Amino acid sequence: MTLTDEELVARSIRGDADSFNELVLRWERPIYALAYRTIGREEDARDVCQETFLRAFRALPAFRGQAKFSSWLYRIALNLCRDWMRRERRTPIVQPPEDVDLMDLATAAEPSESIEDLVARKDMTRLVENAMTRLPEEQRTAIVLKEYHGLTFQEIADLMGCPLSTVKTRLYQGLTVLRRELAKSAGRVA
Amino acid sequence: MMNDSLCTFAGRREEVLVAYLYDEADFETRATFDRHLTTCAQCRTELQAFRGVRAEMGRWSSPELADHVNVTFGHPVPVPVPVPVPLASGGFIAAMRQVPAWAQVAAAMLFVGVAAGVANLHVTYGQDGLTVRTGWYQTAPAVAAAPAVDPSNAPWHNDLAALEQQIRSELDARPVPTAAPAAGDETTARRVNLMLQDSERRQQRELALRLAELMRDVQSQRQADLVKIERSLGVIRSRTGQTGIEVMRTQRQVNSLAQQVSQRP
Repeated sequence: MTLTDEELVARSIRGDADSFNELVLRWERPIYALAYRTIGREEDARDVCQETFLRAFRALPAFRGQAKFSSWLYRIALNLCRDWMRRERRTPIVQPPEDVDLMDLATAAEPSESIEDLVARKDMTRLVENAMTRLPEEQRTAIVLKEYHGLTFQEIADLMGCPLSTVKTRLYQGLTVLRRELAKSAGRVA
Repeated sequence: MMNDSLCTFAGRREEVLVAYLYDEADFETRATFDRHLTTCAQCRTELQAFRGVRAEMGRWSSPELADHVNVTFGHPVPVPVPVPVPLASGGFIAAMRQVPAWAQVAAAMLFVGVAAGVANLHVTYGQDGLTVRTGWYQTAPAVAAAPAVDPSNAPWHNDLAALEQQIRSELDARPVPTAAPAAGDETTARRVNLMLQDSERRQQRELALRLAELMRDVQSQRQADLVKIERSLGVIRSRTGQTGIEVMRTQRQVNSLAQQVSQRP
């Protein structure tokens, strides 16, 4: 039987290391993905991910279940990302994926997808990444949390510490910027 | 023909559009906006564009984690709980670690006291000074008893009796001695007591010193062992942590080389 996050947290607080390791395994990929999409660097995102779980472990006795465990983890991760960006004093540089690697293409292409389609898809990925760098931190965070982590407006508002209407406004403005940037890039490519 | 003029939606248009886009609008708001979309080209166009952007964003995937997050959790309990060490794994020294110092000193003194009792120590002060010896000394073998002799028939019996009578009469005539010798005995006894106490204190001090030295040696050995263990764990962690990063760097270098090779005519 799969234990819920709350059950694993309770066991971890009582001293069960395996339970916390289970939480790490369950949430390391989403946290890493959040960090990567927010700050744009693979190794730094990995460091943020690791630090997130270390801080969560230390603060676990103080976790009272007032929010979902995942929301609590996201908050820690976002704070670390924010600290990283302030420390670096620059907007994140999203590293586009490595240039086309034939071996990757051979193994990644879906059966019905041609190599040309896969290259086009990778190009679009690069365009999306570049467009995301144009966004201010708050808009990018709101879009990442909504698009890639499926959080509700209220959860995003709680995480970012802002009103519900502000979250919607940030999403609208972020989507507007992305629409413009993607159209611009697509026009250049075409 | 549809009206391309500016949107005339009454309300917070941007927030409602986003809520509609992400399907988080309540029933009434959704119905209202549905009706609005039938007459507003701007909102229809914008909604469609945002759906396209979301579709493109769906193609952006984050890189895969090279390996699991390396977080080492030793003893995750908030309050550390001491683990009792069985005697078999460390012997007397390991067991001694768990006992407080004061208890160890008290146990050692009890041991010394019992040992002194077993040794049956005798402390005397006489003309030879303070003497400490154990009571388990062998007495001289008993001398063989002389054959019994009937004194009444001895020729010297009368002379011996007369001599005895004379000594008794002389002793009875001697004056009673003064109290000076009694005071001397008390002084001597006091001096003996003082020396005994002094000796006991010295022995106790020496015992405590030896126990403190023993505890210090045990503690420093324990600290050295802990440092060694920590260093070994640190080496293992650093090796494990670096492995994933080194693999990723090597993979990038290989990709770059492969690209250069593929681009050569």
